[in-house]
Amino acid sequence: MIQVESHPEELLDRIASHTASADDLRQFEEHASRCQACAAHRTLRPTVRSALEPSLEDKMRNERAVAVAMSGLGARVRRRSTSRSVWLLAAAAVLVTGLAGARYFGRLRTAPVPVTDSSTATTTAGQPANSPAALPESPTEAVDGPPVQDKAKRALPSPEARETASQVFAEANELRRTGKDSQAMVTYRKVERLFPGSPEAEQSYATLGSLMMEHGSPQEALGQFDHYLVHGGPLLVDVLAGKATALQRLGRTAEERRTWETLLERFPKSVHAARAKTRLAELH
Amino acid sequence: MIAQVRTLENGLVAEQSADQNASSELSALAHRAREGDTDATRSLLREIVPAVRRTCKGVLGAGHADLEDTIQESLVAFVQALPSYRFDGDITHYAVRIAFRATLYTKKRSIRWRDRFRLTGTIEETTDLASSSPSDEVVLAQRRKALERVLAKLPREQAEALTLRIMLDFSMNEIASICDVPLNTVKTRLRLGKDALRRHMERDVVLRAAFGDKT
Repeated sequence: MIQVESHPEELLDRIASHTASADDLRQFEEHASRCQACAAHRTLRPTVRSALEPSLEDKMRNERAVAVAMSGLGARVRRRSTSRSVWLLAAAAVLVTGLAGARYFGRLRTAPVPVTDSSTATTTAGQPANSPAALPESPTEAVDGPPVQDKAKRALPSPEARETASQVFAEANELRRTGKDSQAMVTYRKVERLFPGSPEAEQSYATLGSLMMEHGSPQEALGQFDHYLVHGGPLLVDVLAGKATALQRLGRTAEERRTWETLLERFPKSVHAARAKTRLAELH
Repeated sequence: MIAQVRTLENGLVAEQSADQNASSELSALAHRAREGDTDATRSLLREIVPAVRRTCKGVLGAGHADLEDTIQESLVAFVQALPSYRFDGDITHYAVRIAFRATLYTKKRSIRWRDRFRLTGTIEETTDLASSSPSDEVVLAQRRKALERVLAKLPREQAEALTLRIMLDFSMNEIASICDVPLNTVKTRLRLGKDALRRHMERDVVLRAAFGDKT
């Protein structure tokens, strides 16, 4: 029967928590000398733990993530409530029509429609029981933000100002993922315009540039790529390749050559390296 | 000596009691969130978002373009999955499970998106040599990619167990809770996964080099 050596996960945990005995350490070292998987695990562990530590910015980002998620959940609830809202509005319309008719024929005075406080889902006191505003709001509308029918009544800041960079960026990404490129490009521009300097705007330059290249606009794409290259980021190598390709399509050979050379110098093993070398050979 | 042991036990009991209190508070929030209580939902998300962020960051890397999107999508998916939660384990681990799935999906989608942007070839290492001494983050990113190439060849359960263990630094008990399987199942998956990882490292010089083995 073949004896399978198990991997000493408990020893690894004791070593990581500094509770390992001398014997534990000796046993683990013997195993690690034969098992590169556990040796690699031990090598990785301190770096992984350090990378997983929350940063100072994470708390702010977490708050934003929760706010965006709540907003997204609210939109889903409002969409589910649409049919119920339509029923309520229809019922209200019937009631108002009936009241107007009664007033015409029987001098019934209607109370002014109260402004509903949507944050508490109550109406102001003293309203007639048969006023439209007395109809109960849907319990599923108890979400952030006013019900749809109250938006016109409230003096809100412009809709654009109320959105966050993250929300608009997420919307642009979703449009891109679902193949709605034209709308995606408009929305990425919106991120850049409304939230300049934000991480989302920086990312938008790369993505929008790529979309512009796909849609045959190398000059505009170049502008986007150059914006991204000012600060760089995780897509730096791809943006350099995109910029070089845009320059090729525009016939700006000298700049194209310099861009490929920069790419090769900084990322000699990247997936674009082969094309860079081929193109540089063609240009010489 | 006996007094010291009793103090230690009391400390452990106090800590367990504190953990249980925190856990029951989260369960209470989850109950109210399931009933549509917006404030409870928000509070619950605030409690679990650090674990969700840690999970997404551990799989995608801190600089990934879709990190924030994935975290937000995970939070929404968690709330939508609350009706399925059986209140029989740590709800934070339930959130981690959902975030982990969402993150793996993002990773696959991200690779497809990057392939659209690429002009040629297959995915390879992208080390920025403008930095003469790569930071820990760069080194970790290289090692993550090297590991991912191997994990892609393993059965899904083994790859997930190894990712949770190595890249997210969860204990075996935590992995059992996250994956909702017995502890022995986790041990088996890790053992088989590490056996496979060891075989790959023995054959792959580049993989060994990624972990500092110069042989």
